[in-house]
This record gives sequence, C-alpha cells and structure tokens, in this order.
Amino acid sequence: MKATTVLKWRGVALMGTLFFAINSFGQSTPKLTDPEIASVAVTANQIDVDYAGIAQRKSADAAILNFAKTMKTDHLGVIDMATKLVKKLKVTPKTNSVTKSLLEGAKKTKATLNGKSGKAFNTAYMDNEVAYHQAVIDAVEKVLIPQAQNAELKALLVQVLPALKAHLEHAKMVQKALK
Amino acid sequence: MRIKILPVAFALAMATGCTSGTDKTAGHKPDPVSEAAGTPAGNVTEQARVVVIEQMKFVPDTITVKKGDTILFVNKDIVPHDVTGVDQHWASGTLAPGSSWRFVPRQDGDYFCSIHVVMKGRITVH
Repeated sequence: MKATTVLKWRGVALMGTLFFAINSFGQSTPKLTDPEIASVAVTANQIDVDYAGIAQRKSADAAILNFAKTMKTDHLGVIDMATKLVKKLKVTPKTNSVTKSLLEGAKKTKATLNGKSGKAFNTAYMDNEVAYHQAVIDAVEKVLIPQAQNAELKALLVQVLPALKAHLEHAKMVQKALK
Repeated sequence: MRIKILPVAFALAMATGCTSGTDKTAGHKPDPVSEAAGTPAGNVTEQARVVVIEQMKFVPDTITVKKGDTILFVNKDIVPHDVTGVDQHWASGTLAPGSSWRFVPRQDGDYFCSIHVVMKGRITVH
C-alpha cells in the first residue's frame, strides 16, 4: 500500500516535471521577452512559497519544517529583489504560456499535497521539491538566462542559481533521510 | 586547498568586546558590514580573518587561525545565512544579507549554516 502510494506520487511529480519541461524547454522552447521572463521568475518563486506554506501547515517533521521555512524566506527574498528590479527598469511582468503552465502544474500539485497527511505528505512534499527545483534550475539555465536581454535581469537570474542549487541539495538530503 | 585570506583590521575595543560575557557563543551579535568591517578607527592592534559567505558557500570553507584571533563572517549573499557550530554550542544567529559577525574560536570545530544545511566549513585553531 505504502509502495503504491509512493509510486503514485512519484508519477504525479514526474508528470508535473514533464508538463513543465515539454511546455517550456522541449523542442518548442518558448521565446520570452524580459517582461515575460520577469513574470516566470516571480511566479516560479511564489509557487514554492505556496508549497512551503502547505508544508508548514501539514508536516510535523523538524527537518521538513526547517526546509520549508528556508524556502519561504529565500524565495520571498528573490521575489522582493525581482520586484524592485522591474520597478527600477520600469518593466511590467507579462503573463505568458510558461507562467500559465507553471500555475496549472502548481494547482494540481497543491491539490495532491493537500490530499495527503503524515508520512505520505512528507514524502510527497520532498519528492516534489526535488523535482520542482531541478525543473526550475533547468529553466533558468537553459531558457531564462540565455533569453534575458537586460543585463541587470540576466545578472539577477545568474545570482539566484546558486541558491536554487543549494535548495535542491538540501531537498535531496531531507528526502533521503525520510527513506 | 589553502585559499589566500584578506586581513582586516579592527579597533581593539570592538575586538575585545567579542569575547566578553559568559554565553556559549564567544561571538557577537550580527553587525552591519559597514560597522564591523569598515575603515579601522582608533588604535588598530588586531587582525581578523575573513570568511565571506557568497553564492551559498563559505569562502574559504576551511580556515586556520591562531588562538585569540577573530574571524569575521561577512554575508555577501542574496539570502540570510547563519554560522552554527556542529556541536550547537555556538551560533551567530541569522545574518541578513550585508551583515557580518565576529567570532573568536577557542578550539577546532566544524560548522554549518542551519538555514541551508548543505553549507559547511571548518575552523582549525593553532
């Protein structure tokens, strides 16, 4: 039963990643303007803040609560930096197909997470955090940074990458400890 | 690999303040970088070793100091960090981006960032 649940969740997580990948980074890699890149960046960070909020409500695991607190702090910090930059550049973030696919994927993932509790939730949350951060890192490296035109926007994206990679390693560490 | 470390001078009064008190930290509450690492004022009699926190790393991640030396941890990253001994006997508290913390280690020890637990470092005291 437990194995079935885990496999089922992994399938959902993988689908979410693939959904993101196919729509954003596959052969039909979208061409994004700077206002669209700003929208994707803010949305991707806000989604992980939302996931962290769910974890803080549903988990009692100390390592997960610490991880979720870090995700909330760091991703809100990046949103703040991005918001200040777009104001400075007088750019208005523009919703686009990638933003929409991110939000659609997040809606499904939130529903899945909210439907779980206890160990099943902990496993699902951490599996998703590993998959999500890997997908976002791929997006930033392969799509957002190469396509950003404004030097300051590009620099911000480059600056954020080490944090995303550290989050991924942190997520893998917590995920491993659950098994 | 040993990494070249930049020496930073401190005013004696500020440095001695780091080690006073009876708490376990032997440290000092986080300061703005401008205060802790700024231009030396008054009599400069002590040098500090600097560990910069940037791109989610302690740089350098291993440091060797003489007994009584001060280590200045400077957070130049975009997110908050802390410096916590693995034995949990000392900790900096949260260091916001742009702030720093002075620490006088009494013995060898490993440390990490309790906010980002994959970030690790080591202090050796001669």
